[in-house]
Amino acid sequence: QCIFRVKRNKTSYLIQCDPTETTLNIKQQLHSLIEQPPSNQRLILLSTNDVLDDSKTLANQKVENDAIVALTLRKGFRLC
Amino acid sequence: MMGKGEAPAPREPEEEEEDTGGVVKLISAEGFEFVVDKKAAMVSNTLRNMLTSPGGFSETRQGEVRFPEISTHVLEKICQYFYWSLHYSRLHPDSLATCLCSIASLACLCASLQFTTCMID
Repeated sequence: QCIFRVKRNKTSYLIQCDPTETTLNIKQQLHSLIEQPPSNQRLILLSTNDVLDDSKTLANQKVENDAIVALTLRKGFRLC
Repeated sequence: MMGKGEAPAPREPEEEEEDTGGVVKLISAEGFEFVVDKKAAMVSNTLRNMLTSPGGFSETRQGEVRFPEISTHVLEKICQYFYWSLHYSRLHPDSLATCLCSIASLACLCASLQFTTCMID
């Protein structure tokens, strides 16, 4: 069980997840919060500046408890 | 805290179900927003009252609470504490005191001491 923060502009989303979940799972979880499909989202782990890979699990990409992840969106799409 | 986390659920239908999908937005003095699980926010009795009281208050309806007196750093810590409490207080009741200590020392640094401590009670 881990909790990390997804940040964009002035908003933080606290996301609860299991380290065995994939990045895509997280994007789907975010989809319900921000109305942007996973294909428009890009997540970047702030501690290493690595872009998270959809198919890999969080554990494999060293997203740990209390990590901070930045959310960027495809150009031309904005949060409602 | 107390184990009545599931208790309010059956009473929900009488209030209009907001479309926030079980999350609430907490907004700090500087206007930074924290989107947290409603379950986590309910750890705080203060927030529970704000979010569940009948009478169509905007906090209950929109699931959005503004804290003009809590700075972003403190509010972020509080949000983390909510989740921490949700998961660990039942498993390790002893360690709760340790966590409260670290929160208290943080709270000492901020001017909103009173409100902060009442949020985490």
